[in-house]
Amino acid sequence: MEVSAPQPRTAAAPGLGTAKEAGRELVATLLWREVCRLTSESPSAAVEEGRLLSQVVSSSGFLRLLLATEKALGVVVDDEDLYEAAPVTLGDLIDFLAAKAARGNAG
Amino acid sequence: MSVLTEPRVEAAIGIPTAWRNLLADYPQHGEASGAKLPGAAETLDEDDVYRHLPKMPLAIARQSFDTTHREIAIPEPVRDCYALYRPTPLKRATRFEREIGTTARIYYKFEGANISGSHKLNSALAQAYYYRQAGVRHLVTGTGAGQWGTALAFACRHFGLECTVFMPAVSLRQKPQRRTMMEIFGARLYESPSDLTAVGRRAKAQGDGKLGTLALATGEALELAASEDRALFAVGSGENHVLLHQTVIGQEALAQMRELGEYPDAIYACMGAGSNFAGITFPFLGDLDQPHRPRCVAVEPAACPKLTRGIYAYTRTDFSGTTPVARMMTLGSHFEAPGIHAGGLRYHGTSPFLSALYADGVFEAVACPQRAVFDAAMLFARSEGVLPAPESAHALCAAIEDARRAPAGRSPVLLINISGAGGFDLSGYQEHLEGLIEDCVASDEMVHESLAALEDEQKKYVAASLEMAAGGPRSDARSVLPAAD
Repeated sequence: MEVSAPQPRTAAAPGLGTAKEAGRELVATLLWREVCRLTSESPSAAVEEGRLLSQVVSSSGFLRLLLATEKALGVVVDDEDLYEAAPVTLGDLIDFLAAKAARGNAG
Repeated sequence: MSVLTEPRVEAAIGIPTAWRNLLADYPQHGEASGAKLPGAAETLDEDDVYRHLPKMPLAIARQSFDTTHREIAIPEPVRDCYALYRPTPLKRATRFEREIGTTARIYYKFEGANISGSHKLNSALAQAYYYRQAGVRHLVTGTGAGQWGTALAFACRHFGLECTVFMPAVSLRQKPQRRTMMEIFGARLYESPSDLTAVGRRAKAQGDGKLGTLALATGEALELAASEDRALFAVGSGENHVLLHQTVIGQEALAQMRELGEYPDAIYACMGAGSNFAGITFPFLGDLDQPHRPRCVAVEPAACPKLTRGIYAYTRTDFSGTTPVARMMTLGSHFEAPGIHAGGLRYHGTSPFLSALYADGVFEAVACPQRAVFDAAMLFARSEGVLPAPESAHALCAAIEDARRAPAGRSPVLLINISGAGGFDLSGYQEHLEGLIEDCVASDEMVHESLAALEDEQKKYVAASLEMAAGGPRSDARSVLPAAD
């Protein structure tokens, strides 16, 4: 699957952006794979990290996306962490999950 | 038969340690049960960051979408609360059998002996626990007949959450004491349609929903929940996690019947959106030790015949259109059923997962008119000393018909779920005693008008789906185009 280089992002939500870039790229790949599986997005399309999540999935789709990605990454997302991060864009969500994966791997 | 020799099972079994997840037996419905149509499905404000977040705790979402695990552990704090009233009794209704004059052996599971008066507490406690764990402070909901609202009010009180409830006007007028019950536990209760929300004011202005419906009350609850930080909407039926939480009923019944050396040939439960029906039937439908499934009969009111006269279609789960579209057996979200006393059964649709099972022929459905339901309830009250809620009496009504047809020389075993007690429904019983109750069968005109609107709705969704498939701005689950039905 082709994933473009990270794009400039819109304003990140508080507490995001702490992941190591190597882990982040993997997270972006897995997340985009799940987006494409759940939606009519084309796998060959570049990940536009500035896109609003609400333009990609509905709230119920967001739940499915989140749960599928956490399974693929082998992490468990916590409600409080998610509410604190409040991701708005695809890039925000990649940052959030990458940070979670980095913490999980470290632990 | 003497009292001493009548079969009775109460405390001989324990409280289940896990809920029974039937979705693991039917993983093919994992998508269908959660599938929502893209595009027109939601009215999210893209500038509102908070509303991009999940509308339920992730722990509950994981349960709702789990197609892998047949058992999901019940948290200990929830089991501790279940111990207030579980296990609930399962008894053989020998006097009722004699009154009917049947050879059938009739058992009933009674879920009405708790503070909420119904099975609804089984999910209310679980949900309040998970929402509290997720940092939510305030739960908002709609309740049909007040059973769910009372249960959630108690559960919120127990787990330290605020609670606000919207209840259809017609139900609240029939059961005004429900307000007192909810307020005892600190909940705020509003008659729906109300002036508190734009959804309610619009319905009033348009002259819609004078009686109120659960779909309208739900729309108001959703609006209020969306307007407040750390407030979320909690649902009392229909969603997978609610069906799951209710399976404590059937698991206990299964253990209790085994202890008696019995197994049901048929199971009866009333059908609103489906939580008590799922609760009693799922453990039997998923019983891997039994080669033959029992007949499972969903009993709905003739006033709101979504299974027997509805269609399997995409529609909104609430009146306002705030919720995503879901595929279900339905009469359409704007169907306003006559104001029967079984207010908990006036919802326009059935749970998506149950609807998929119904389409597969896993269970059957019948509809009962209101007078026959009250006749059945009276017969049961007089013979067994248990006053059922009018909702639950639908199950009795259908079971009586089958019991009377039991062939001589055979003694089929029938299991009935009495999902709630009728203490708050005395005005309905009084009207029945005075001969004032009507059958309230939905007219052909009502049903046809609603289904015609629903078919128009389908065309819009198909168009939206095609637009999404062509690369439209927003999408959700992929396999969402309605089949030709």
